[in-house]
Amino acid sequence: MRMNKSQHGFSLLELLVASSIGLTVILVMTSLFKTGMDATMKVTQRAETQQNLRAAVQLMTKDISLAGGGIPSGGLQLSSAGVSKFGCNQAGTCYVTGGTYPNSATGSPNYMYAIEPGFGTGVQNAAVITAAPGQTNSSITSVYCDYNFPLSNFTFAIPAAGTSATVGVINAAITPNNILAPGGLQVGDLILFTVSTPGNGKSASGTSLVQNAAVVAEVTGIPSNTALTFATGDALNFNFATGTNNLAAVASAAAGAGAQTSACRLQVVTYFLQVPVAGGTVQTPRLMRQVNGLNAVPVADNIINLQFTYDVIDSTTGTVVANQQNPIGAGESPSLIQKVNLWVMGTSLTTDGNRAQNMYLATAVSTRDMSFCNSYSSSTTACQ
Amino acid sequence: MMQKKISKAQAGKRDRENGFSLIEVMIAIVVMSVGILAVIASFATAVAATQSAEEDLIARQKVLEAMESIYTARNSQQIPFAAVANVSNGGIFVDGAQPLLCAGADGLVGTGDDVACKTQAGANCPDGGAECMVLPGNDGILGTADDVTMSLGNFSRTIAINTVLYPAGSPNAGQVNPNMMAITITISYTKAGLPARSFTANGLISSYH
Repeated sequence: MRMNKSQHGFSLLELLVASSIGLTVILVMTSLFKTGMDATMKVTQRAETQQNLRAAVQLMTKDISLAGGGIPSGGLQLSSAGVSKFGCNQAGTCYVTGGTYPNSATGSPNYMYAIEPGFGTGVQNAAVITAAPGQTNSSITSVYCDYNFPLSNFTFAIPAAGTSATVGVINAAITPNNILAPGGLQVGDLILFTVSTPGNGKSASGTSLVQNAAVVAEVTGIPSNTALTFATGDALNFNFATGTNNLAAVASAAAGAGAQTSACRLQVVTYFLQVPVAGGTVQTPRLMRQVNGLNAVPVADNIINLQFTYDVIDSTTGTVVANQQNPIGAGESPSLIQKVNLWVMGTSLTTDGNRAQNMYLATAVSTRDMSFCNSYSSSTTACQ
Repeated sequence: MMQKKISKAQAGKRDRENGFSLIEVMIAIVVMSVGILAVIASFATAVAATQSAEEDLIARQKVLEAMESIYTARNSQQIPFAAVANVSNGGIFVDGAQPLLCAGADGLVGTGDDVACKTQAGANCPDGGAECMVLPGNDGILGTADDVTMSLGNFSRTIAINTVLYPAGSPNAGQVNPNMMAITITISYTKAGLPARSFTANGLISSYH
C-alpha cells in the first residue's frame, strides 16, 4: 500500500501550485528579457548615432584645422577670365548650390579663401531632410596644401602656351618618385604653382623669396608619369588661356632669371549633406566629403542637421565678432576667420517602433594657419 | 518481521527514487533566481555605463572646444598673453566650476562676458542658459510639438590656468616662465543614478605663435 502511494506522483493541487509558481517565474524572466532587449536596442541606436557624430566631427575638425596651410593669408587670387567653382566632380555634378569662390564683381579676379562658408547651401540640390525640415544647413569648404604628397620631389616645366607641364624627378631615390604612385595625382586634382625669385631687399643677405606669380590649375589629363595636362574648359573652371593668373603667366615668370617654381597639391575639401534616392526611395541623409574635382564620398550616415558659425575679425573695427553665420559683408571676409564653431545633429537609422535616438555634438576649431603669424620672418614686430 | 524489514527498506529506497520534492524545487528556483538577478544587476551596470557614453562624448568635445578657443584668442592676438589667466590672477577666465554658457562677443567660453545660450529657433535655453539643442521627439521630426530640448545644464566647466616653472637644468631653473602658462580644463557632469564623471585636458600655451 505504502509503496503504491509513493508512486502516485503530484496531486492536482500540488501541480497547480507548482505550475503557477513556475509561470510567475517565467513571466518575470520574460519581462526582464524584454527590458534587456529594449535596453540593447537603445544602446545600439545610441552607439550608432554617436559613432556617426564622432566620425563627422573628427573628420571636419581635421580638415578645418588645416585650412589655410601653404596658401597666402589673404586668399589666392584666381583668374579673372571666369568664375572658378568648388564642390563639383568631373562629370559636371555640382554638389553645393552656388559653389563659386567669392568675387567682388564680374570680371574681377575671384579669391580662393582658406575657408569658403556656404551658409544655407548645406544640402545637395536643396533636398528636404525629412527628419528636420525647415532647418538651415550649411556647407563648408576648407582649402590647404597637401604636404603628404611630396610634389617638391618633382620639377615642373610649363611651356609658354600654359596647357601642360612636363614633370621631372629631382631625386629618384626618394619615394614616391612617380606622380602616379598610390595616393598620387588624379584627373580633377588641383595644383598650386608658385614662382618666386630670390631677394626682396629687406634683409642684407637678400635671400628671402618674392612671389612673382601663383596659379591654381586643374589636372585634366595624365598622359604619362612625366606629363600633366591642364586643358581649358575643365570641370572646375580653373584653366584659362586669357586673363590674369593663368598658367601662361606662371610660365613667363618662371622663365625669369633665378626664378624657382614650386608646386603643391591643393586639397579643397567640401562637406555637405546629401539625401540619397535609391530606386525611387528617399533614404536617410548623410554627410559627404568632396575633394577637388573628384566624386564626393559619404563619411557619416544619418546626419540630419549641419550648421557652422564663425568667429571673424571685423577689419573695420579690428575686433573679433563671434558666431557669424555668414562672414561675408561689411568689414568681414572669409580670410579673417579665426575660429569655426560647428554643430552636427544625428539620428539613429535603427528605430525601435517609431523611436529613433537623436543627439547632437558641437565643437569649435581654431583655424591655426589663418591666424598664424610668423614673427621670425617679419622685419617688423607686427605679430607681437 | 523479516518481510516487514525488507519492505521498509524497499519503501525507503523508493522514497529516494521519487525525485525532488516541491519544497526542494522551490528552494532551487529561489537560489537560481538570486543567481540570475545578480547577472541582471551586472547587466544593468553595463547599460548604465553605455548610457553615460553620450555625455562622455559631449564632455570630451567640450574640453577640446574650450581649449581651442583659448589658442584661437592667442593666435589672433585678440587678447594679450597676460589675459590668459584666471580672474583671480588678473586674467579673464572665471575661476571655479561654471555652467556651460555660450561664448560672448569675445568668442571665448569661460570668461565674464559669457551669455545665455539660445536654441536654433531663438528660444532661451533652460537651466540658466546652459548650452542646449532642440532634438526631434518621438515622431523623429524636428520642428513638431513633441520636440525635446537636450540641455547641458548638468555639466560644469572649470578652466584653471597656472604658471609654469623653467625646467631643472635650464639657466632660470625654478623661476616662473613668463612666456608659458599651463591650462587645465575640466568638464564634469552628473546624471541621475550614476556617479559624477569628469574629463580633464591639460595643455601648455606659450606667448609665441
